[in-house]
Amino acid sequence: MPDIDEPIDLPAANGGAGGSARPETAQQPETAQQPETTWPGDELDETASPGTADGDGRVRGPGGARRAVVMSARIVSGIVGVGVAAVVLAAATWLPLPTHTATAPSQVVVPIATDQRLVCPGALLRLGDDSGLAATSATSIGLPTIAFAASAGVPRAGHLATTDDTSDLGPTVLTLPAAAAPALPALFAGSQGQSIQSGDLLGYAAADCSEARGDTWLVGGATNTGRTTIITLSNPTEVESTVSLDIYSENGKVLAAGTEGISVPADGQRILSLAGFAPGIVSPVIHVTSRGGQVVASLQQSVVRTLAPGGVEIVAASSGPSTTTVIPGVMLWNTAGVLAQASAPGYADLSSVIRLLAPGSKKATASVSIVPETGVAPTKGGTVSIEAGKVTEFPLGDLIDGTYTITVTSDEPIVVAARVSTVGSLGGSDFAWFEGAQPLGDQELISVAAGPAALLHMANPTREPLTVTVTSAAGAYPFAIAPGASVNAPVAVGTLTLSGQPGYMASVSYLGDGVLAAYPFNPAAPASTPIRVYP
Amino acid sequence: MQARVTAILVARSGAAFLPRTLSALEAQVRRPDTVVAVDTGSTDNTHDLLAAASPAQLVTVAGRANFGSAVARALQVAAPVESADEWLWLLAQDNAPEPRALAELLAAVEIAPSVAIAGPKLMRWDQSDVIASFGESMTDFGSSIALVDGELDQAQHDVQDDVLGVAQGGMLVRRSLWTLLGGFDPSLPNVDAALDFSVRARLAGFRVVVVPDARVATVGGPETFGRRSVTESRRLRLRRAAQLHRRLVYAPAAAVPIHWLSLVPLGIIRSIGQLLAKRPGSVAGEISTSFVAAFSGGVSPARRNLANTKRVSWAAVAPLRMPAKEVRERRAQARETSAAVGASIQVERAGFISHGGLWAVVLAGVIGLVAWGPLLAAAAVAGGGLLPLGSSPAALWANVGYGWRDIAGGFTGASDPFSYVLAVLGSITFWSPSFSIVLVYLLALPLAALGAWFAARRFTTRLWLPALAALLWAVAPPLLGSLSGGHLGAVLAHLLLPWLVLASLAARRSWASSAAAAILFAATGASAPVLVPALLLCWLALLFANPTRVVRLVGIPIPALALFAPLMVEQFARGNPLALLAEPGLPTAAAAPRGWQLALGSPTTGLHGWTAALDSLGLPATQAAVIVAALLLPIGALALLALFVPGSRRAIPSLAIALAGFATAVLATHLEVTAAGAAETGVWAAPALSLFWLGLVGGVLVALEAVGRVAIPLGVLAAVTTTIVAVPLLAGMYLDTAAVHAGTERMLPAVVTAQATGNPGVGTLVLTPQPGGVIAAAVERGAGTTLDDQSTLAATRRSLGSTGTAITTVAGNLVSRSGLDASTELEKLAIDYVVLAPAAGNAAVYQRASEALDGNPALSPVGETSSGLLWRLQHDEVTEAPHHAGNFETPIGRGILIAQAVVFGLALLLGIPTVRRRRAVVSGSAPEEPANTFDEEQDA
Repeated sequence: MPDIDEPIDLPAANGGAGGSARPETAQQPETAQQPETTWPGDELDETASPGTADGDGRVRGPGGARRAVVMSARIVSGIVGVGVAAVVLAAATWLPLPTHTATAPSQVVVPIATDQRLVCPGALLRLGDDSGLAATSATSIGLPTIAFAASAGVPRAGHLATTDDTSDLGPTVLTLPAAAAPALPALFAGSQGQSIQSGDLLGYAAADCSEARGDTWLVGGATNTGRTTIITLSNPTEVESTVSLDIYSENGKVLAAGTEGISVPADGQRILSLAGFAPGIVSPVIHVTSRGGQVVASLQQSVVRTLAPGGVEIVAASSGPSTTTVIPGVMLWNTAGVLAQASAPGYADLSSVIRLLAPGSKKATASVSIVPETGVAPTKGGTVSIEAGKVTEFPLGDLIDGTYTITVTSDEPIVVAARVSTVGSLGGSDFAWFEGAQPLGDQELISVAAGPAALLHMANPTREPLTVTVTSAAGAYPFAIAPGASVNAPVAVGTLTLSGQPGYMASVSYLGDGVLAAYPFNPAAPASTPIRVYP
Repeated sequence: MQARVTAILVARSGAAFLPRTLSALEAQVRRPDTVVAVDTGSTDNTHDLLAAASPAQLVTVAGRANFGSAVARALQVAAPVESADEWLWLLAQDNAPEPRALAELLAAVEIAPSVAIAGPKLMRWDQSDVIASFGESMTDFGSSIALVDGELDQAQHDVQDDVLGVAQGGMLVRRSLWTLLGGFDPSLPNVDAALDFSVRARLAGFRVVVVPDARVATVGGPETFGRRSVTESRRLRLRRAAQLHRRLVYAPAAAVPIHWLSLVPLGIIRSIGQLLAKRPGSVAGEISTSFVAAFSGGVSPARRNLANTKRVSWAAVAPLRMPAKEVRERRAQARETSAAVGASIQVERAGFISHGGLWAVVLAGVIGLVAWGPLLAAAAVAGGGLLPLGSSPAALWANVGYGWRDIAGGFTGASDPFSYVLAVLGSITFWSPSFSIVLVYLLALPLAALGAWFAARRFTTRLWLPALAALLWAVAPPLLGSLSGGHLGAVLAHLLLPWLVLASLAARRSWASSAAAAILFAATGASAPVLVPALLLCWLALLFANPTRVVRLVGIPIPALALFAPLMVEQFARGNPLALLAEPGLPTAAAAPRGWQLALGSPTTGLHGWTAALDSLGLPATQAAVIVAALLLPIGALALLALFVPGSRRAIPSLAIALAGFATAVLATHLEVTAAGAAETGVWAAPALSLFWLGLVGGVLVALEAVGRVAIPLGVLAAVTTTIVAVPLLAGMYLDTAAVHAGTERMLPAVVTAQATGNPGVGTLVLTPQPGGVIAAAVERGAGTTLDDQSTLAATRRSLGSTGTAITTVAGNLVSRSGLDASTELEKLAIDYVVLAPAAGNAAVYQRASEALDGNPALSPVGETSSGLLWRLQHDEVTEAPHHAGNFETPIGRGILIAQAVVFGLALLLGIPTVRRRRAVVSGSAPEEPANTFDEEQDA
């Protein structure tokens, strides 16, 4: 077919084109778009009659008229081409073309139910024997009161088989046998509380019994003079556990021998003194990681100031590095008494502080907000700059007596806990560590340990109002919690069921005369929830 | 005694020739004594013409009798033999003798009584000075050969006298000899009948001569008798059939069985030769003649006849055979003549070295070496869509065809066509197949430049434009995007596309190019199945544009069809035909680009790395679109300009190809047929964008050729801006933005790999936490799943199947605190190791999984490896994986492989360039040349 033109094309090609010098009309750009033409050069071996193209390859025709037709055909084809390009581009960009999506096959796997095991921190410990010798060995004193319950099934209590405790009494292990029917795991909770008044150990400590984990942040403790911190590592699993401790202090990460590869036997407990790794540090934060079997790690901190016992506390796992940490139910009582004593030498750690650590490699800037749970007391707070890897303490300042929810937000993930002390009417003091709490699910079982004046705190850090119904033997009580607000309620010792929208945090605090303790409630470990698996 | 001559004129539908022949007969100086005319099944007025000439006898033979039987029929009615000196003059309708022909023939036979057959000099019907035939002979192997064929008669052959045979037209034969020998062999209907007759005459002790002064016209050989035209393949078939028949007849009795047994094997071997000689049309003839010769009944009578009349030994005729040396010389001469025919036109085309082609390739090579330099010392490339290849070519070839696919828990099914490409690729570096991918990376840019240069040279007369096209194709964003993302198939498709264009266009004239185009089509389609619909459209367009060349074009998709057919059957059976377009190789998840991003040539949302580059420089990433669009503006504008300037014949198809490519790219992003773990992902659009880019570059070439003086600045501008666009992708290895990186041949931890050397069935469960709180589980065997193990059948499946359910169930329980008896379940699946891959997107699931696996008493932790955390199942011995049927162990697998091998074998034989390329023939140079005109069936 004749081309619209080919003035500069190969001579042979034009010969072929010129062979049928039919004038192209402007109405024919469509025919020109048909790719039925051949490329120039392909005609090279065609036996075309050369006489129809002149020397420079221009096709002979009726001269100017043909040239005009050719030009207009070209312009039309060009405009059509540009138009097609524009329309196609616009259509491809804005036209909602349907997408053919073949859903990836997958399966939600409900794990086959297995025995649930909770490990309580165990009886309060004293390093060394009565004679003050054998400072590395720990001996338990007394027994905690254990409370536990399950939403289904019959839990039973036992003890870990082996322990470093010279009294050879392992911490309590609570076991809920797997239900015969592989349904969702039953809710299971336990707690321990222990009051002690034995020599230099004086006070009350309570803790939740928790599932073993592979990764635990313990924010609390001190190893300067008079402060004793004991790390307990309990392995309730059937597999030996290899634990590593990363110890951070106010001076940065502590490099100490023996913090790697600590072997915790299956169904056993190791008791280690923090001072063995990091003596003389004021504000440690310990990151416990385990390979093999998982462990329940906790700290037991006791304080003796000169000869005066300063209280005892069990530090449970914190909520882990996060850019938002909520500590519900921080209880301040007899702040005046605390303030009076705190100025004395050696009593500096009586004052209330927030301990913060940015475990990453970047420094963090945290903003602390302290909101009273009830009443109209003003919100306090401040901003604190946290150097990477160095534990920083932020004083809570002069707050009036009451309960507060502390929210710490930062630009980098940090771990946070608050230490609060109280002074009794007789001058005796006790302290408590309030750890960052994790958000709870829609249905939780909590165990309130036996102790003085248990107070349940619930904080709603979400932007939605929540209603949480607390069900106990006495009945069901709904609590409406406004966004960002908190509530508290005195509760009886025993087991409670919390049901409501997920996302709130809860803790329990105990307050007596010169006695203070608290622990947060944690949701069931994710390891037993159903998971979607793709091939 | 006066010789008596009976002329026998045989005609069939010869009205076009008879008037001249009859009048020539009439005008003989020595007229034949009797003329017997035979009309054999004419459909025109031949009978009337013959009757009008009033021969002595006019015989009408019903049906289509051949020349020999027509003569025999004529002799039945001819006057009986009256004397010993009686002669037959055999004439066909087109054998118009010159006036002195018969006189000269008779003069020749009269002086030599031993001469029983005399042949005239056959001249061309329309060129009376060109010899058509002047004596025939045989080679040492018995194939007939014309002594003279198509030479201008300058009396150069007139010294000849004794020959082995003469042609049948105008043959003067002693009637007694004719009777003695029983005429022509009925098994030789046309070709070689006269030669065979002459040979038998020689063996009976007579001489056969040619008479130079007796000239008789002829239109064609004996095979054209009564036919309007004879195709080259028919001619070859007839010649071959005659040769085989004569071989069986002439052979000594002891050798007949050997010859007979060799017929079919020789036929197959010769068929291969015919393919190599680019005569695919002759293949069927070769095979069929072998069978016909083997089972025809004509051999025994002919052998008896020969034995009865034979008086002298074969040695007596041996000197008349054409010596092998002369045969070779004649063939060489024929080749030279044919080469000389076309060597007369020289359009100036760009030279590879003289016009920048080499420099463009070297420049692309340097850019490629710098860009992918970190891979220089690597044994394999990893990351993105790449995995190492199998450990040996044998392993690669075991993964083609229909058999056990060791992925997704294992299933039996058809392999991806891409696995064939990988097998070929890996066989190139047979000592370390994975290294071939490194080579692809290092050489991708120069190879792209090389292909584009040769393809562009075909489109343009501007000498420097191919170099520009080479550069534009080498730094094409789709190519670099695919390299950066590890999409090997898309890279290969980009490298193959220019060659496919080149071969497809040449396919119209050359069988070799047609076969090459077919193989390139298959390789391109296998590497990027998403291109197949667009390529088929282009193929259809080519068919419609060249209706007269359909024969060579129509077969182009056949090898691709052979590769895809098994997969097509399976995907259609699944009701998932769109999955055929899925990108082969390791599925990778990527966000689908929008339409305007595709229009900017970006197969990802990252705009050739510009978004990330601007982001890292602290500039707003939204500016990336503006920058890239501005930099690509010269290409787009020039491509559209091509429509406004002369050259629309190339511009419109180019832009149509660009449109097809773009449309394919848009569709590809909307085809989420593949699942990479939890993510459904669209088909990788880069191959379609390569097609888009191909069309754009074609348009740019047309425009630049037309714009005159500003072409060079515009071309340089386009090349520079496109190269700038490519900079972030080219720097990807150094900025660590490329998905690919230098890797080892090992994907699984060394412990597993070491175990796999002794036990290739060792199973490893690889768990990969995915965004969204989910996890992916895959079972890998041996040293790990390789790139050639991948199967789109697995990647596009829509249900887990029983194996998939079993694997996901075990995996889900393993990453949970579970009461599952992991030991038993893992042994059931023949899994010995569990790997938890590091989680980029989901630390919580990683933590959960590692804790659960750590706490599982059935598993013992091995430690942290390059692939992630590793656990070993605590059991006594490694599970033996069951043996699965390979690709050649089932009838269906064998059938598929053999069928594919046959298709590709034929295509390869046809594609090997054995015949010298015929150059372009300028019009007017050939018509005067009498010989060596090319038939359509012959190769160019």
